[in-house]
Amino acid sequence: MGERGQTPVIWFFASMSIFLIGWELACRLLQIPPFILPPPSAVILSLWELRGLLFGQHLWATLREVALGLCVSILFGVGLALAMNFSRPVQRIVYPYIVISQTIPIIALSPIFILWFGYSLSGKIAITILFTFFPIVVGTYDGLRAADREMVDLMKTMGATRWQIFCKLQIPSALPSFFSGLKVAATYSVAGATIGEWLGASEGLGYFGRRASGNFQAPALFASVLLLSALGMLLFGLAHRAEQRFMQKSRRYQQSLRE
Amino acid sequence: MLDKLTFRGVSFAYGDQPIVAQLSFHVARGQFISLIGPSGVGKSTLFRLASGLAEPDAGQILLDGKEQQKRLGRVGYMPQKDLLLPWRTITENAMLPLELKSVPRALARAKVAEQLPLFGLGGCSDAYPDQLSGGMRQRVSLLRATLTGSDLLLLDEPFSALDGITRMEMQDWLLEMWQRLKITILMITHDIEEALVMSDKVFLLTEKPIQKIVEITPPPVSDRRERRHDPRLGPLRREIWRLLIRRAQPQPLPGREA
Ligand SMILES: Nc1ncnc2c1ncn2[C@@H]1O[C@H](COP(=O)(O)OP(=O)(O)O)[C@@H](O)[C@H]1O
Ligand SMILES: [Mg+2]
Repeated sequence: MGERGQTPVIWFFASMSIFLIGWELACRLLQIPPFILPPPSAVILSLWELRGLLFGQHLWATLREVALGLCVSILFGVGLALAMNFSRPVQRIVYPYIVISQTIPIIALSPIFILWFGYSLSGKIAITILFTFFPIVVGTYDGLRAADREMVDLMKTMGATRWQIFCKLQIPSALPSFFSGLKVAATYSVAGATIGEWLGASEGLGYFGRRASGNFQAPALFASVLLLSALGMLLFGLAHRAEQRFMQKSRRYQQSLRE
Repeated sequence: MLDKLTFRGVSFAYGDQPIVAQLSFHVARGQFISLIGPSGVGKSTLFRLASGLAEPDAGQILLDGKEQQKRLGRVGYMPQKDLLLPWRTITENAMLPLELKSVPRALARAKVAEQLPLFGLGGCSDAYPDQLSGGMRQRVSLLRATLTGSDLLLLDEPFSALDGITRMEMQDWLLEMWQRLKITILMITHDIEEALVMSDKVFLLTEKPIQKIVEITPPPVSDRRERRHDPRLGPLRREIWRLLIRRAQPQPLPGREA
C-alpha cells in the first residue's frame, strides 16, 4: 500500500474525531436530553455495558442472516446472469422483469416475504436475498454483455468457440461490474436483515434496536446502529478486498516473477 | 499464379441497404494490396465477408481457389483498434490465437518469445498494453494476427491512429515483415500516398454499392521505400483523386474516419 494508502485513512480519522468531539460538545453545552440524542460517550458506555448481549448474541444472529443471504444471492444471481447470457429466450423473458422489479420499493415486499417464509431464520434470509439479488444479477449480466463486440468478432476470426469467448473474454470483462454489484449488495444485505428483524424476530441487532427504541433507551439504540453500520462497512471492505485480489492477480503474479 | 482470395459474383446487404453487388475480384498469392475508398463505402464489410464474420447473400468467396466450409479461423484479421486485452501481458495477448487452437501454453509462450524481437518488441514480453506506445501496440496486434498461422492477413487501417513519423517507420517495417513471412496482405487505408508506396496493386472502391473495383498498379521497383521519392507516382495520385471525386459526390471525400 505505501504512503498513498495511508493518507486517506489519516484524513478519515481526523474528520471522524472532529465530528465526535463536536457531537459530544453539542450534547453537553446545549444540554440535549440523552433520550433524544445521547452523546458518543454514552453510546460507547452502553456498548460496553451491553457487550455480552450485543456481541455474544445479536451480532452473531444478524451476521448469520446476512452471510447466508448474501451467499445464496451470489449463487443464484450469478447463475441467473449466466443463464441469460447463454440463452436468448431466458434473457428475453427474465430481463424486463429484473428491470421492472428494480422500481418496486423492496421494503414494501418484505412483509410478503415474511408471510411466505415465516418469522424464523429463513424469513430473514429471504428478505436479505430480496435486497441483494438484483445488484448481483444486473452487475454480472451487464458485465458479461460489456465484452467488446469487436473483440468478440476478432476472436471469432481466430476460430474461437462460444465457450472460449466466454472464458477468455467475457469472464474477465465481467469482473469489474460483478464486483461493483457485489459491493452494493454487501451494504444492502445489512439493511435487508435488519428489516427482516424489525418485522418479527427474537434476536439480532435489528430486533435489539427496535426494542431499545420502544423503551426510549437511546444509547442502546445508537449502539446497535453503530454495530450495524460497522457490519456493513466490514462486508463492503471484504468485497473490496476480494475485488482487488481478483483483478490484480495476474499483475502481481507477473511482478513477482520479474523480481 | 494461384489466387489466395477470390470473390465471385458476391452480393451483400445490411437489411435493405446493399453494400456489395455482384462483385468479382481476385488477389494473387503473395501480393500486397491496398484498398482505398470513401468512408462508409463498405471496405470493412469486404473484410468481414472475406474473414467469414459475414456470409454473402449471393455468390462465392474462395480461399486458395476452393470454397471453404468455414472461413472463420483461416484468415488473419487485424482490426482498426488494436483490441489488446488490458489484463493480459504482451506475450499473453500475442499467444491468444495459439491458445484458442489449444497449443500447450509453454509451447505458445516459446513461439511468441521467438517472434517478439522480430517485431521490435524484445524486452516487452511481460509489459501490459497500457505501458506501450501506440505503434508498439499495433505491432503486438499484428504479431497476434500472424500467429493465427494464416498466410492471408486483412489489415483494417492499421496506421491511421499513428503520427507521421511513426507511421512511416511502421510502413517500412510492415513491408519487411511481408517479405520475410511471404504472406498475402490486404490493407485498408485512407492515405493515397501510403497505398501507392506499399502495394503491388491499389484497389479503388468508388461506388456504393460496390460493383466493381478499379485496379491501379504502381510502377514496379526493387525497394518500395524508394517509391516515396518516385516522380512516376504523381500522375497516379492525380488519377486516383479524380476517380474518387467523380464518383463519390455525396460522400465526404477521403476523409478520416471517426
Ligand atoms: N452491422 C451493421 N449493420 C448495419 N449497417 C452497417 C453495419 N456495419 C456497417 N454498416 C453500414 O454499412 C456501410 C459500410 O460500412 P463499412 O464497411 O464499415 O464502411 P467503411 O469501412 O468503408 O468505412 C455504412 O453505411 C455503415 O453504416
Ligand atoms: Mg471501416
